Amino acid sequence: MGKKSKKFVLCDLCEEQCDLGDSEYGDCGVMLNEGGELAGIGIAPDKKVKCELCPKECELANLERGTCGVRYNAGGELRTLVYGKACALHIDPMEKKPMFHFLPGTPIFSVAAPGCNLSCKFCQNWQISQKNPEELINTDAPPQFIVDSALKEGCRSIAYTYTEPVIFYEYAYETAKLASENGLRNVMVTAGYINEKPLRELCRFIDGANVDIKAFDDRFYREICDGSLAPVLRALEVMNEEKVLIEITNLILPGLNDDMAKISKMSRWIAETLGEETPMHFSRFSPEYQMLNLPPTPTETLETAARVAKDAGLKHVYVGNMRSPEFETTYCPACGAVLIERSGFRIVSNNLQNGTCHKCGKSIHGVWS
Amino acid sequence: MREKHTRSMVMTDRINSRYRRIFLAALLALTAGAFSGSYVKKLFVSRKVKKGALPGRKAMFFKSGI
Repeated sequence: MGKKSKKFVLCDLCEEQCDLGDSEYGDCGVMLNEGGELAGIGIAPDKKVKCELCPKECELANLERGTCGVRYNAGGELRTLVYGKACALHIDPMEKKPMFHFLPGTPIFSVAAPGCNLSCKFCQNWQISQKNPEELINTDAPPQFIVDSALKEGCRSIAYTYTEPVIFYEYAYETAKLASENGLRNVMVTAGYINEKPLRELCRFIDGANVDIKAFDDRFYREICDGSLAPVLRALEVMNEEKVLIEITNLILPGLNDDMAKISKMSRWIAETLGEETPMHFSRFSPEYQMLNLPPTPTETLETAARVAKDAGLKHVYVGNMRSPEFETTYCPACGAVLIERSGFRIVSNNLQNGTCHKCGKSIHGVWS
Repeated sequence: MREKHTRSMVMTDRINSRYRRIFLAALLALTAGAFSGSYVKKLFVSRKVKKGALPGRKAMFFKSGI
């Protein structure tokens, strides 16, 4: 924190990036260069802080940031640098999240703030997730602005997505709360790497979540993502208990997590723990970030994984980032009737009748209205 | 006949020279100021102490004084 030169200190706590001469204050009027050391008024240098938001539980010395790069210790008080700072704002089709069992065919207002608590080498959004806030151009978009914009654009829901909503927790929490009060639904697209207490608190306002299971393998999490599997599985159990509609995504990387035995094991766990109607998405990898050496996932691998998951008991299995009419369609798990036909992110036909099968009347798992 | 260089003329030359210097210095200062407005602003604004204006906003879920 604060790169030292002989006299000047660069304060990189916020986007201003003040280069401070000796005894000079930054634009905030709080941080200053005190004899070549970055210091702050009213900041006690010896107070450590433990962040209890995610399982990494970073212990931070004064002015130190967590591994997420967005939360820091300000003299014994943990502060977030990304509250109301959106690095991406967009209106997406719901199917892009992907959420196939949640208000199909509706637009969803999507928001992201910089950073992530994992560092997956294959990250598809690394340009914003693997950066500190000051490295990006961020828009001031407080919760009220997000909710007003979503309503103005005719969206029925807001997604906290693209990066990791866990680490812009306060921003997502207050936006979701305000959105709920205004009749909007909230969707979280996350890796689920969060502690139980903050997750339960957030779930009060979250209606749906697409959670990444990167692999059903702790070693993969440790070596490729700098995380671990157990907290993700626990987060899924908590979300299920809190009645959040869960959809799972598994990005398949050729040679790294395409072992069909593990995919079968993961699918069985999902079916037994979260329910066999939990939608499962297998996504195709395309070379990104630090995994440019790998080829894109063969389409056959994804279709095989989808069949393995169905054999393991899951009723709604889809593939993504590729075209496959068979695995883009929602079928009735009871009679096999075509319920929702999709082409990419477009809904071709929706035969659901008040969330039930138009042929046999079976209630289909999802949020449909 | 060669013009006599009087004391008053010398003074006039000096004054002209001083005004020219002042004018040039002012021009230089204004030009520099225009190009470094942000720095000048920073110089004056940043030295005002605003209590409680720490970067960012108080986060949730942490334990202090460990």
